[in-house]
Amino acid sequence: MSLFTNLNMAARAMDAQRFGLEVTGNNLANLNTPGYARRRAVLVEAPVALTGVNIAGVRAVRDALIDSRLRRELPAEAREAAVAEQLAAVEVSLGTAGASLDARLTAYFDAFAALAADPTSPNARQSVVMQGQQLATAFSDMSGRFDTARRTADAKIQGGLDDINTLTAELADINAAIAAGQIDNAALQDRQATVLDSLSAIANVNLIRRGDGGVDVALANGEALVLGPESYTLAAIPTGPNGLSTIQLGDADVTASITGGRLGGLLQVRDTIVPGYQTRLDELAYAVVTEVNVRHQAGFTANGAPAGVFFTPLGGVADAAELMAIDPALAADPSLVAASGTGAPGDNGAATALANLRTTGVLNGGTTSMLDAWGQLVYTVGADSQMAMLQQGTRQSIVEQVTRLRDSVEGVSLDEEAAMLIKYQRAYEANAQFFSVVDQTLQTLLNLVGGR
Amino acid sequence: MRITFNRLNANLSAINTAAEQMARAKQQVETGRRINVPSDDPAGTRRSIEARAELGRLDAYDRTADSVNARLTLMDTVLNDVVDQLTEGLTTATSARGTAVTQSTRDAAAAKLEGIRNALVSDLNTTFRGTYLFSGSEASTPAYTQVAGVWTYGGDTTAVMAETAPGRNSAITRDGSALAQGTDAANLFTEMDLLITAVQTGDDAGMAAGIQAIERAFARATGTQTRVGLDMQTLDEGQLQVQADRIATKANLSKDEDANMAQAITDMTQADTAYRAALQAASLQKVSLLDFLR
Repeated sequence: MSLFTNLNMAARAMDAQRFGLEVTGNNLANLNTPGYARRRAVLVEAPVALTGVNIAGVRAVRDALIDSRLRRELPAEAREAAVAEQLAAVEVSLGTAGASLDARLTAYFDAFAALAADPTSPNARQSVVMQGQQLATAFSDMSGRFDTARRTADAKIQGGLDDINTLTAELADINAAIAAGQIDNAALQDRQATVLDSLSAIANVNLIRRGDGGVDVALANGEALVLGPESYTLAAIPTGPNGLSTIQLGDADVTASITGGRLGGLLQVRDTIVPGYQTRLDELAYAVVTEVNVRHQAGFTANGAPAGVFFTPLGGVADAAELMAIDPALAADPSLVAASGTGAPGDNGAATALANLRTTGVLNGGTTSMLDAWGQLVYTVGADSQMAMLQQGTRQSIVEQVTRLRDSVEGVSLDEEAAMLIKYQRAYEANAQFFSVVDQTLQTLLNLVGGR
Repeated sequence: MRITFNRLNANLSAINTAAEQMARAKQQVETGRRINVPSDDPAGTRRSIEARAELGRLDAYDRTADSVNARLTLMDTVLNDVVDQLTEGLTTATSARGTAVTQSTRDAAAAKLEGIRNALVSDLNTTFRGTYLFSGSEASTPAYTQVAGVWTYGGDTTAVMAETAPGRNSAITRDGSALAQGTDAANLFTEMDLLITAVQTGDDAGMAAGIQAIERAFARATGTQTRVGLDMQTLDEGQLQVQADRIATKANLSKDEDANMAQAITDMTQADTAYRAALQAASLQKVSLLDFLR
């Protein structure tokens, strides 16, 4: 082993320590870069004995298991977050107790009670008509608010699809770059990890690792979104009478494949939760219309004629709240309101029967009064919203735990990097010292030779 | 576990949680309401809707009771007048009897009786906001009118009832024929017409029969007055019951809806402390080995 070889060894060793410093610097530079996995300089002993160190490369510290665990949790968390966010808006639109539909129902039955106490009063009749109109308006407004909630969710679904399309296109680009063998594969993997995290939060997707490190993406039922360098776009196509979108991949309707992530939550709110509320509101509206009409038609008008309907009769429960309206003839002529149950103008049989409807069980097989039914609906919305918030809280803490776990493996630690700085700096200094010693030795040797 | 730079994110989420809790506690203190949206307490919201519905029902009873009370007061006044008129009629008819009474005195008595009869007709045809009170449910027809010279009852025998408190009903119109005729063969006004003729002609037997008819009418009038009095008593008792129910319901409602201020303020203070602690914890993170390598 010659002194020159030693010089060479020292030079390469200094180079290796400098490389270590560079990697440390790169870690510090990327402290705030999303998806960045810390890098380690990989140094190996030179293959020929006593020739020092070689730079084998740089390795990103990743844990595939934790990554996949996180991507399993993200869709559930995002889904509950979306449900909670949407339901928070829905429950606000229900109004507070005593200032919503319950107040309108109470006022309507109050008007009949006042008519029963003074059956010949034109004012009391007018007030019944007015309260009836307000009740019908309150029902259709409430139905409109549920509709708005569904449309808001629908608009957000369309936005979510744009996000998915952007992300899948980016993944396809990354796949292409990886396949083309771009030099900084680790940087591409970082970017891929970030995109996959974002994608998992939007929808539940299946990931299939490619041999080269790229990734293919498919929806839950196997419909491909990314295949190697190709991505396929999702489109929102408005369909049906309500104009809400279905999610199409090419010609196929893939709406049913999306059950998780933000989109899954939005779809659940739009297609299951809010329509459920709407049906219950419709059932209540239908009960009001039919029960009031039956009792109203059994009575007599101010002029002693058999009374007609109070509300315009409805064909069925569907859209009952939206379509609820008082009979136009009755709206124009309050004397058509029934107060009398016998035809005698001073009788109050019909008005009393209608006022008593307030506490009569007319829904759920005659066990639930109208006000109870409203209370139950509000309870359901409140409980659903509360449950979604709790679920989101639980899911969020799981996501936070797993993220923390991932950070503990992949994240950059300032203490560690500081230690690395010292380590490489000292190693560099030691090798420089070694270089200097070899150099001096060589000098001595040369002096010996020169002095002869 | 390695502690990494990203640990700062966890601090951020702790700060968020604490800030959220503080905002919620603050909202309770500001609004004084425990429930601001149904999800704050779904079961409480439902109870509060039920309680408000109950309050609405009780308020409706209250308003009905007020309206019925006005009618009953008017009925009572009318019946007082009926009793007065009948007493006056009895005195007048009695004064017209006997052999010492002159024709002119009898004529005067007859004229007075005619006045009394008219006053009684007007009493029974009293209206309350356009409703005849003594025509049963035929509230737009006067109780008694002369049809082809015969006093005829235009109403029916149905006394219309209104519920003024749970399970308590008061009559808002009365059967005038029960007052003016009862089980008699002829009504009071026909009897009085006969009495007037008897007074004019000095027919003592006729006068005696007329006086008896007035006495029976007097008994019916005081009986009706008693029933109206009972209705008013029922109404008052009912209103007391409704008021007691309302106080109880309001107390329940307040339990569900109103924030317990002491609790809310304590919560807010705690949330504030937690928020400050989270902020403090975040600022402590700054120190690392790098700070010691100078």
